[in-house]
Amino acid sequence: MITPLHMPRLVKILTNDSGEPAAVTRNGKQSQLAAILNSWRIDDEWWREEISRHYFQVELRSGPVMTIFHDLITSKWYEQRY
Amino acid sequence: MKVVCVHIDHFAAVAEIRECPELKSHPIVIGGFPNDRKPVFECSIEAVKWGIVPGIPLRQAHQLCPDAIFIQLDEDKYVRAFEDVLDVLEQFSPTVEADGLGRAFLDGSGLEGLFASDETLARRISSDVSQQICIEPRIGIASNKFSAAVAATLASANKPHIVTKGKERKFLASLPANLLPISEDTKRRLDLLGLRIMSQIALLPLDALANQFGDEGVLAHRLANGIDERPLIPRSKPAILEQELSCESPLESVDTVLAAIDRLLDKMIPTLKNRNQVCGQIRLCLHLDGTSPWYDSINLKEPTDSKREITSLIKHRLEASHFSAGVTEIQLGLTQLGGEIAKQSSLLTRDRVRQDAQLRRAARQLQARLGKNPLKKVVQVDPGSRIPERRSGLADFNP
Repeated sequence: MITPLHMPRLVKILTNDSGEPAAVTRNGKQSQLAAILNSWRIDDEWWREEISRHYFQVELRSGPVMTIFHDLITSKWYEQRY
Repeated sequence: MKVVCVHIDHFAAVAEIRECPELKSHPIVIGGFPNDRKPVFECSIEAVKWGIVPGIPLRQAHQLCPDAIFIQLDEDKYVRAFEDVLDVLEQFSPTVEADGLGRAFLDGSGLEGLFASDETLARRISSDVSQQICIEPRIGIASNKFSAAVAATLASANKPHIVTKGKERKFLASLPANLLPISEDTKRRLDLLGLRIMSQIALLPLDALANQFGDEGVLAHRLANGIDERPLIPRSKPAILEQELSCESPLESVDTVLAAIDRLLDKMIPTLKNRNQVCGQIRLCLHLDGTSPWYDSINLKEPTDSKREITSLIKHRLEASHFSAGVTEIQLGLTQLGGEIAKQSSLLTRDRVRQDAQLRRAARQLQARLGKNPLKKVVQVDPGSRIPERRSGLADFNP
């Protein structure tokens, strides 16, 4: 049996007026974003269970860089190791 | 040729007594403890009086003399002590041959101009060895090795035995045949034939002895007639790179001793590298304040010129040892010097094979401890996928 690696994990994101992430809540602690370093979209597998994600590589004010995406089908936010 | 034989009976025991003079009046047995299943390596003259001889089991030695002092075997110590004797002999002649522990030959030819007589030469050698090494040898002088060796066994510490040139056969004639350097089996057969003294063997036809005993018969015949043409073979000194350091005040901790050794290695390693050599053995002598020196030699699994490796081995050895006093002087030697040895790695597979073996072992141990094998391996599922979780996964690992 093979267990997939780098599965997405739900994360709480606070967005700004334009729908872009502005703060991340992890372990009950909210961290403001310092910058959005990159963003891209993945739209795939429309022929079976469609995937449509908007990815953001963001830098937190405390320093770490993380990758999050907005699932455009379920409207949920996830953190994912890339 | 003039051959001087220097003979020291029971050398290992003598070396022990030299190190610890209070042992002198006690029977000493060297080889291990009474319960060890080992033979006696050597014993002192006091122990011989109780019937103990080298080769008998230690238990038997204990039964013969329960009050004997049993000492663990330290062959390195005896070799070092005998090398000290050889060093003294080399002050007289450059041709010195060691014949086992406790017997050495030196070429005395041409020393007539320095010493008025053979007896003066013998007494001078005896006194120099006695003064410098604190060991009293017995000296025999003759025109060949065998006669000189026999003469030395007949000499006493105060009176050397000198065999005049041309009188060897007469000197040997009445002596027992078991002094001949031949096998025990040949000695036994000679005894069965009633050939018990040298003259009996010397008078036999050479052909008869050759037919019965082969090469040993020929050798016995020649030696019994006082003929020994075996040359002296000078000892080959082992190549050694040495440095020493005296300390103004005794070094009390292992760290300070290691720091001093580090300084010595700073001088030695560049020399070793410049010669493109590696060393196979480390010899360390620490002179301790007020007590006898501490010796150790470390044999390396693979010859090296790496200061880090050498320091690490010395550190390990020092940390495992206990010193009763501070170190006042350090002598460090690198021996068994040789050319660098190239290491040929196996093509491609060697490391992988070793890693696989280690993993298999680890998996077995985990299985035994946890009841299941928790090891997983990362496998590529769809490495070109745009979706991260589709690219790779964890699979069971059964090495």
